[in-house]
Amino acid sequence: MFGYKAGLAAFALEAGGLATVFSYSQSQALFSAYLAAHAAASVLMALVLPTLLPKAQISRPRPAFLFFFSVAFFVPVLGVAGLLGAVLVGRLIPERARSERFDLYDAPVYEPRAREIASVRSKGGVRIQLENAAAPVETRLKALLAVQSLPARVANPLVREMLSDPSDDLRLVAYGILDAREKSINARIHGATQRLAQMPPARERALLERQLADLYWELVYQGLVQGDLRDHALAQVRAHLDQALSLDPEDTALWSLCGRLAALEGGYDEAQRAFERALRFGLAEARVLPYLAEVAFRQRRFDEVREFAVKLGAAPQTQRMAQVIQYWSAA
Amino acid sequence: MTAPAPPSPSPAAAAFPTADSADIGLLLEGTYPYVAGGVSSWVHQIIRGFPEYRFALAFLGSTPADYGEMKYKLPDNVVHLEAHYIHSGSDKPPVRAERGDPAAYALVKRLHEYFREPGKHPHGVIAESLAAISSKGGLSDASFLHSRASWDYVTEQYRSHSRDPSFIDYFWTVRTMHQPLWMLARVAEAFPPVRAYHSVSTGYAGFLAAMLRWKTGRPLILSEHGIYTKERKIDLFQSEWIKDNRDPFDRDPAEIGYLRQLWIRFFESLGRMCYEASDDIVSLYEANRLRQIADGAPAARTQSVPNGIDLPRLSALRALRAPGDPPPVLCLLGRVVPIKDVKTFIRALRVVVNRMPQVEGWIAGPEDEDPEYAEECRALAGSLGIAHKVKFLGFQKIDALLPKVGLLVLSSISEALPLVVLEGYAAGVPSVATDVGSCRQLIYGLEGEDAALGASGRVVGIADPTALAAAAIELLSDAKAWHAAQAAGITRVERYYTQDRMFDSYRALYRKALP
Repeated sequence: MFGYKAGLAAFALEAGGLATVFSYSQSQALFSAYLAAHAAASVLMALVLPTLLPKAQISRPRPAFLFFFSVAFFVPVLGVAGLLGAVLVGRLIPERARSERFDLYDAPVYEPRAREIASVRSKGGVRIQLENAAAPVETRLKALLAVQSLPARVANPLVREMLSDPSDDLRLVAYGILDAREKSINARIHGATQRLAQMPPARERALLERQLADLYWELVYQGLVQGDLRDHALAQVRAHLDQALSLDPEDTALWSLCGRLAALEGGYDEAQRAFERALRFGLAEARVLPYLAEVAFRQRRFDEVREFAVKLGAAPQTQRMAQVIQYWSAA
Repeated sequence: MTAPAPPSPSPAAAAFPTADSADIGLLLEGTYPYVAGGVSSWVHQIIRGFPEYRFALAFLGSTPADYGEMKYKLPDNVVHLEAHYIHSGSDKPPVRAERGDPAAYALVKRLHEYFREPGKHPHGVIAESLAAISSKGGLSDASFLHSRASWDYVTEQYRSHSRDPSFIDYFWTVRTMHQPLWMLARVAEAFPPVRAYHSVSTGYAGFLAAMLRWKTGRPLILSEHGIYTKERKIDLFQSEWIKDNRDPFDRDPAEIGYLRQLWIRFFESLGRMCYEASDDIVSLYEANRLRQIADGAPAARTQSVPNGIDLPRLSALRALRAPGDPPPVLCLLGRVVPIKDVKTFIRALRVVVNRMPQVEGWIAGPEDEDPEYAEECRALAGSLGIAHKVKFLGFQKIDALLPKVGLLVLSSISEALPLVVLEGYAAGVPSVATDVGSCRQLIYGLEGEDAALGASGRVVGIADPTALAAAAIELLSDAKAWHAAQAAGITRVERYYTQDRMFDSYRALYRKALP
């Protein structure tokens, strides 16, 4: 009984409130009166409407009240219409569909299994395991898989050695590792080459040329190509580098790559010029000095190596680099 | 009894021959008559070599979309053919809650324990399990997929064994993995009665063979060309679709992901079931026979029978060769698929062309099996700047091709006993092959008289284009060495690898199975 009366009261309050708002006199007092009426109507709605829903659908009355009230209060008229619609839908859904029950289960417990195998940690350990042809294939296979987590440049020569292993399984897994690495680089080379053939605007072209130089360099750097194919890749690096430099002659990264390429091919003078240029165009000293030091070392200019080492001493270094610097600075 | 029409939407289905019975049931997975290649030609050869027997064929494929038209015209003695697809997912049971039979899962548990440690448990469990998944047994696929007992078993196994934290991935891996077995059980029940079974691989076909063997008691011959389990294993090591949910702290890089291990063990177990059921286990050469034994084949039932070729037909091709120096043509004869490592051939060609610019590389084989790979190969030829030197010829009849070829090149990363090498020998073409399968034996000969014949080509390491190129250059540029290799090849194939020798071995096997 309360429901009907309260409902009617709510409608009356709301209608009265609205009537005050839409009357032509616009005063603060009138608006406050409307707000009061509207708030009272909303409270009544929020009390009544949830009771019209089946019990199972309202499990927590307080949040339900807050929700109904907010909708009714902050969205005048439309909010109430929407709530009425929702209540109607809630009543129309057949009881059976609602009574679908869910079982409650405890959260599952995960019990990690104790590791059964000794882990292979250091590169040296891996190499020993790999090269020990007498070890069981399973052990060596695990070592081979562990190698994958080393940087590609270090891992690839190790993996390549496995290509001539007497065990089929090891050979094939080694092949798979190298093939996957090479494939991903070659796919990107192919994509960039094709895009380049479509004559894109100069800016993109510079980017693609640089990308191609980097990718071919990666093939060489990771040790994925040998012999004539390595020569071919190096020639490609050179060609794309020249193109990229002609489009962007002050790029520091390009000059740095140019220096590394020249150094690899034994052109130390050219390498030094390239690194100096990279330095001049703004590449951080810490990134160029090790290369300059290497070039100086190759050319037996040991005093300069020392100078570079001292200059480098200030910058943060990897452990191995720090040892090298220490050696040269001490002398 | 006639087998029900296969559920495949393949248009060729209507044209399948059917029969109520046959002499030999051939069980084929992913090969004849839908795929062209070494194993398929061998199957064709065997069927035609034994016209006195009537063959019933069961082809198992992945999904109908993976196969086109039949690549072979079925010989007249193929009286029955049915095709089934493992991953078509067409015959799933309706979803209905079940209680499941706890006894069946106790049996499954024993089976899994047997696979974990085959030495410690009795063999009988395999036969018992195979009986359980037949339609009369207590372990239906409906029970496996939707029963409380199954759920309890899977969760228990997860708790006690899984090293992968994701139960969801574990659960679905187990479901997907086992589902084809019931499909195969139904195939086994509908297959026409035959006097003996012959499976050409382990794996799913081998499982079907084992079911049939236990169900009917008829003898089973298993001929393995490659080693199915090994190839699956390599595949699974590489596959990217298997998840590994271990977090970085939990992960040991030296350890294979648990779900990957599950798949590997699954195929190992299928192989073991087939070995156990087979009366005779045939490999192509000794190393593979030893591998089979290591994988669980009873040594006493194993033997090696090398492939053989139709000598008179191929020897006639020698007369078609132009006299004099070998033609400057390197030819890779085989499907363009990753296992043939066509890319290494292309890379080697780059090196050869640097030294001998007149040389061309031909790639003769269908490209429809892995079009993406074929595309990568073309791209590689382009990026190496030898696109004009590499000819992709598509499928070719060897009779027209071999007389124009200087050297056959086999750059495969895995082979068994490749027929093309033997066919090349007979037609007067030496080979350069990678050191896989029995290639070393084919090219340098087995110790003794065979080796004394000399090298009929060169063997190099896998994925080593420089060595492959060096070998090719050596033979192509030195006519004397080339002719010596040619002569050794001809003698070798005539002495050891004729079709007649192979047929004699199989005749003995078939006679034993079909008295």
